[in-house]
Amino acid sequence: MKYRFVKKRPEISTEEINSLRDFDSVLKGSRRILDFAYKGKLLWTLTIPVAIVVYTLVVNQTPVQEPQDHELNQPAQEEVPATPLQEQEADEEPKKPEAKPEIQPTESVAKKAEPQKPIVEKLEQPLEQPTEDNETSEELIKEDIYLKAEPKMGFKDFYAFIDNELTYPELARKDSIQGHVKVLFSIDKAGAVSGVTVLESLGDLFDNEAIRVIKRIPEWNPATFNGEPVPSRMSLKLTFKFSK
Amino acid sequence: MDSQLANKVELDEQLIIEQSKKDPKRFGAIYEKYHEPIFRFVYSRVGQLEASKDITSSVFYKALAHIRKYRDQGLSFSSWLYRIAVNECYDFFRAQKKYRTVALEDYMHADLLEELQLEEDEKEIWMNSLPSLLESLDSKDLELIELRFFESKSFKDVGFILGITENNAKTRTYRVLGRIRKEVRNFS
Repeated sequence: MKYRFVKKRPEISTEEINSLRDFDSVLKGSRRILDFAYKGKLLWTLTIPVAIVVYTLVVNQTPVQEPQDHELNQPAQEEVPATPLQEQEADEEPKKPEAKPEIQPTESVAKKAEPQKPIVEKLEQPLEQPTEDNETSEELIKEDIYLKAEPKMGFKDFYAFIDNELTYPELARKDSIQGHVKVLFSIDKAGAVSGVTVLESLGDLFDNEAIRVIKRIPEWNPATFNGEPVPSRMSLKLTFKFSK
Repeated sequence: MDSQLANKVELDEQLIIEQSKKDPKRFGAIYEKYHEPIFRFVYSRVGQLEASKDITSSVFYKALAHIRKYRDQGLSFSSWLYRIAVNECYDFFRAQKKYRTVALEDYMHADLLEELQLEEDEKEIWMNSLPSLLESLDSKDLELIELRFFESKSFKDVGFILGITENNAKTRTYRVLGRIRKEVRNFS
């Protein structure tokens, strides 16, 4: 979740809020949901009997072929290892004796399972979907807003600079240590870096290298509130990877 | 006397809810009572007037549409509205790819500072580090703090609103506060 920091809560008077009241739209909205739910129920009550009839017809038709299929399929099932799909289907419907040897019932099981998938996805998606907020400058250039400090060269060049500058300590090479050092530092109103400390250490060799690089980073644009520079702190992870 | 009055108000509210199940227009009294607090709650998170108006409206019409499912669990009806409001806000952030507004001044609230047990010199550090500290919190942890300290909700309410148990709300809040305290001390 991305946050947009403002100094104070947006202010609004009770009168203004009351002028936004619209109970009719609440009644309409609720009616819309109930109508939709009713139609949905109606659709289900009509669809389910039809589905049951179709299913029983399909199941009743298949026993004509069953003895042959049964005999033909049985040895094959014992000898040939089941494909992952078959295994899955067998897991899903282990107790249906008719379903096992026949192809058709398993197909109908697969068909039944298919529409369930999107529902699960729909339920899970809103919870897990990452918020890819677009940094619309329009939204950020607003009054009463906090803007984080950023390197004068811009973050893209800044990360390239770190990549270029950060060197794996030669003395640690024999131990093949990999990981990150998390550093914290202050950026004053003028954009100068100070007070570099290590929050997550990877050992002195790496910590010192991380501190050295952070201290070498040229000027910063300080954080601002309504365009006014304010002191801020920033934490950064510097990753050390063992190569060669 | 006060508690008798409070009980009467609760009973009246229950009565209106029961009546609303049969006659949705009766819900108007609930709407009048909670429209402003729910609107303010949404507006403080969304920060846009028009969107807040729509979200608040959807909170009430969803509550009304599902009012038959509402069961009195010893919590005020408003907790149910806040629960819907939180979900509606986060649906909005996801669907519209919007930022969640955070008012930094709120985080200088005396109750929160007391709970964080910060020394005087640490308070300034806390203020300067707020954005980077808060950015490291996930939305549920941020809501825990805001509901508890800025909306003054009980842990029972907080838990219900966020869909976790009361105990979990309590434990998680103190764990988050502990983590923040530790980070502020690291900063100093």
